[in-house]
Amino acid sequence: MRRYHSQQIPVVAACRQRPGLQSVLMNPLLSCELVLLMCVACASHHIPPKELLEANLEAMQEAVSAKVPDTQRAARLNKSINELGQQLLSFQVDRDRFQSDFLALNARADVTRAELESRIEQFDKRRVATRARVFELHAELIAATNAEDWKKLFPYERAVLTESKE
Amino acid sequence: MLMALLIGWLFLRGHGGADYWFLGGRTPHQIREEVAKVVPDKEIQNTTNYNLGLIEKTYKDLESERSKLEKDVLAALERHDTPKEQFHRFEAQADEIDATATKSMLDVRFVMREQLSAAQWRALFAPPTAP
Repeated sequence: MRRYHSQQIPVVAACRQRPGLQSVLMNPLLSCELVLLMCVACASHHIPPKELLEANLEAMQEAVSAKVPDTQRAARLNKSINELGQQLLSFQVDRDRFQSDFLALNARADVTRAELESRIEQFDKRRVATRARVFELHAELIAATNAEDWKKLFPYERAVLTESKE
Repeated sequence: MLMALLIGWLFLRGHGGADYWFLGGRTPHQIREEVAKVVPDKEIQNTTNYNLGLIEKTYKDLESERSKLEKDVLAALERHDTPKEQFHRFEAQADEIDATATKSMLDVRFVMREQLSAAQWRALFAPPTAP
């Protein structure tokens, strides 16, 4: 999976190359945090969905290593995160194919309602199965953590599932 | 892709987001502009635009349901003690919203199709070409 370092984010790089940018602000620490937040918001809108998902999954695994000291539980968590990644990456492909097929069908003036419903139903079987598996994997993550661990890890799961940045 | 994976697609199959993916990424407003170019008959223009308005309204109504569902599901995922049954309830709730939305959208789609010629339909709803 591709890793996104803060140095790759243009405004962060600009800050590092030109420290004078920071000095014009009253509170450099606060300003850097604000810049980072802005960068992350911008970055999540420009990274292709597959790469954003891969980056978020990797961030979640790194968080496990950093925040869950028990190696056995960390291994269980990473196994579940790996499968979560496989499920969601595969679902992204299905989603894109469904959109493309649906638009092609819809463009046909002679398409029947049954044809459109059939394609929707076909996609829905896969969608519902993936959704169920995602919740099973969530339950595995919960089972491998205590409440304190989960508080630290949940922001990463949220980023994965909402295609945003933690 | 603006729709979030979990709520937007795993729950609602793309309904209720900011992007009208089934219009090929165009907004109803952009389609209306195309209607003005492609459909010469003013009466058919008006009925087509009315139906586009129905799609828009359905989506705006869905947006609030989608936002509430997203908030509730994320809150349940965040808690360490959420029972599995709660997630099943969310799934059932989402499926109900989805079924109603899908039926409404297909109803409007076929009403619109009847009002336009085959050539007009193809001109308005040609799938986007790959970049």
